[in-house]
Amino acid sequence: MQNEEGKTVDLYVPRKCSATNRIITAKDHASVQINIGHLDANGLYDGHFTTFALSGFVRAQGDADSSLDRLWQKKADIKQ
Amino acid sequence: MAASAGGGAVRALSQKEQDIQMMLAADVHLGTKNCDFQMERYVFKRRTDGIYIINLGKTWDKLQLAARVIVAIENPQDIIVQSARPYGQRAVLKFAQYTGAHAIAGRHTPGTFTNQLQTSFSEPRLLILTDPRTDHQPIKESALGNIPTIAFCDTDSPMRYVDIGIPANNKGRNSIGCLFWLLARMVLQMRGTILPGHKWEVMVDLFFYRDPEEAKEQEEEAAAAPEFAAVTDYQGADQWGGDQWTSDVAAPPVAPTGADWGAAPASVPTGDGWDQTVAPVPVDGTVPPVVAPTGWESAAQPTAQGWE
Repeated sequence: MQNEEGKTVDLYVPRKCSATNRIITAKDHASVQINIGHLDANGLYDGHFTTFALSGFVRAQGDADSSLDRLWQKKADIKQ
Repeated sequence: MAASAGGGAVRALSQKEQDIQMMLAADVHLGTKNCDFQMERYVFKRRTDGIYIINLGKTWDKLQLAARVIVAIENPQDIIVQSARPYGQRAVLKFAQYTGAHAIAGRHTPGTFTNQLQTSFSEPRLLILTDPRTDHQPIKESALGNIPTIAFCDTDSPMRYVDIGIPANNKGRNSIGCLFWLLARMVLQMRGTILPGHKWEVMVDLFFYRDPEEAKEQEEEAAAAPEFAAVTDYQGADQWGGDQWTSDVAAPPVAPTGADWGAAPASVPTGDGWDQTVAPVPVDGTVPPVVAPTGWESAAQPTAQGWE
């Protein structure tokens, strides 16, 4: 969180779920972070990747697969 | 850029079409009679007998996505490929061999990802499964350890805690082998091990499950020569036994022995010896190698008789 002057006062800033914007707490052991690699024109991995974080709530409902598909489709339109 | 993109698209389409044909040949597109609601978006249509048909274009896209995730992990040893069902064990071992991952083929020991006291404890960064229903224990443990999961899901597979579900038939042996082969080839192509435009020399048959009986049959065929030799030895022993039986049959020739004696009356003892010699003669004709010991035994016996 930020104080009145706009500075961040927390030492630990939790991640957020890319699909539902839920906060991924430190005790959420079911949450995952998936790196999807980028390919160049020849279909080779070029070392860069896109990171998606999913909270345990989404995965427990079984929506992780469809969420990841939706996120990747949105991202893939921009990049390869 | 547009031209090169078009060229790439054409090549990708060509490769994609070949892969989809291979998947069709391996019956990857046949699902089950039940359909989980989260797998409905992968279903192409339903047959009249109630079996759902999986859209293989989406299967190929999800295979590509899974290969991207696999290739983005720096150390392949941090990936665990798991299959508890027998049909996927060989495919899992071959996949691990060619991609450098770690394979668990067989029963998953509960606590492998959560109980650090165990010798087989490991904390993988990625988990690849054959069937979410059969391999439900590693899925539960991945939910306790922040481990992403890739799984081959049939139309009735539960999708809880599965991050990338590849819609496929995970109950046929050819289907499982074909899927792992495609995934391994995609990973190797993205890493650059297989140059673009080149084929992978490894045959997809290596990933198929083989019955132990089938392996035994091949072993028996390979060991045909020594078995034949053994059988020959056994026949030889039989012939030797038969020879003994022939010596028993020598009793009826005693009558012709008398006839022979009549033929040579002057040398009666010599005639006996000659008769003994005559007895082995047909045996000589029958089995030459066995005759030597028989003749020796016969010679010994008449000597004793002569002394008495």
